[in-house]
Amino acid sequence: MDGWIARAFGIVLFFAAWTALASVFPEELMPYPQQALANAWALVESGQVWPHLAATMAAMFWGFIGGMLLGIQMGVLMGIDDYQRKFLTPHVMLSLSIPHISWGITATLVFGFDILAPIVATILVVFPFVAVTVWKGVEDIDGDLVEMSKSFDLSFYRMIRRVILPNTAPSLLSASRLALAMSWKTVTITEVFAAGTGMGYKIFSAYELIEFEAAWAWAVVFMAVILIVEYGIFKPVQRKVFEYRQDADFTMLN
Amino acid sequence: MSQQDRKVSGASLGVDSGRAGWIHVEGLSKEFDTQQGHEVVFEDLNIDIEPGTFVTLLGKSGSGKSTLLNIISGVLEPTTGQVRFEVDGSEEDVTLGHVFQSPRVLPWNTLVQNIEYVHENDPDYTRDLAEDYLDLVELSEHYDKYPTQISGGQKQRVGIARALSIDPEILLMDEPFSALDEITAEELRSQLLEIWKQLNKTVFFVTHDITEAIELSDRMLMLGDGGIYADLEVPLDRPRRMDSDEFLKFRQKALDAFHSIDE
Repeated sequence: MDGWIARAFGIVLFFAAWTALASVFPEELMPYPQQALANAWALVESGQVWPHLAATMAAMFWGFIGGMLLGIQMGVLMGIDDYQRKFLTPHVMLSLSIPHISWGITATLVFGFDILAPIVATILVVFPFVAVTVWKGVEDIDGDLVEMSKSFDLSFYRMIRRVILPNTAPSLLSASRLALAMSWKTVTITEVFAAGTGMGYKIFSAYELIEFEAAWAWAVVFMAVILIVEYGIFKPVQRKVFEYRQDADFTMLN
Repeated sequence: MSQQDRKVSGASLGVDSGRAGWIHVEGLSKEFDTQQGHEVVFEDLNIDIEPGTFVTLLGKSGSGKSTLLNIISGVLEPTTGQVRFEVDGSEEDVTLGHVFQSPRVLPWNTLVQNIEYVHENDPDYTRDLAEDYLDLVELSEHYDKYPTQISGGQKQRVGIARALSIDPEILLMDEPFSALDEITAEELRSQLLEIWKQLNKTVFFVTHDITEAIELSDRMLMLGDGGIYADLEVPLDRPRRMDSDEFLKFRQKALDAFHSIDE
């Protein structure tokens, strides 16, 4: 119950702050929340949203998957092998420092106005964050449980499935959360340069045409989709994965 | 159904209480190269442990107790020598059960799932089997709980149930009660003796506690200075009373033997 109250209070505070700011700025620059929500709904009703949302979601999905796969592989190698760790660390650390926009522009120059540009840019942004998180998760694997598994002559596959994966679940979930957030940002930034479609493209187009109300409407739709993914997918997965942590830890995760 | 109603015996588990194994340690040595130099943990150990006996291994910290147990269990390789197991004259298909100092249960699995985990490709495994072994260690009311929902002593019982559930001929126990409070440890010792009497397994039990060793075992081996320097049969009848004259006398004898390593 406390969680719901806190969330509701946070939402109320958010809208109160927005209303306060909107009362200061001209309405053309910053509409009131109710106007922005109404404009967003109009976009949804008109059907304009769906092709652009689909394009963004497709790029985001493949970029997220690619970044996670590459990052997990590198993170596991860095966690289990000293040589791999020393070899990969400089590359990962360098990649962490490169701004999203740089990858967006580079990908656009290489792939042109193609969906590959936001996908590749997203992979390049996401993988180092995932690698570092997974690396630390692998290092924290409980060696006692591995030894116990070996003492009962269990197969490597069984140990991976029943010990290694659940043991690294917290870091995998953190990594995927981070990856998702990075993916949204990178895809929308790259769509500004490299696309004739997508949410990022539409927000920037509205800005270029000085249609700020439309820009806000597209942004509100985008925010709504992020919240649906967070509360519709991530939270249930998190609840299921951490079902065994019934008390303090689970509260902290919430 | 109360815990008393669900008391499970070895017979009801379908366990052949006659199957216990020999442990033969032959010419065993273990050496390590460390930053401080070359270290000899023990050399030329020869031990024979009879089937169905409860044998404890004692020694001071750093004497190599856990190293010896890890070699016997197969986790570590010896430098020289070998360990053989034998059941009814055959060295094939001897099953070892392990109970560790910490319970080493999977926190993301229920107690039943923790038992199931060690039964990979076991056609005879059923949920009923897991429940039976949890009943044996008096965890009947906790089948579907997670380890975070039970106490440290209860987790250690899960570890014991897990080891017994694979029907080992030999049970290897590495200071399983050392991390528990004395009341819980005493309860578990009593329970372990009950289970051992029912199931008649060979038990090789590492401990640093002489009183615990006398309470539990038929035979005490003392490890130190690179070898077994004392091998004592425990002549006391069971059940053993720790306040009896015989117990205290034997304890003193064991202490004298234990301290003789310093001379």
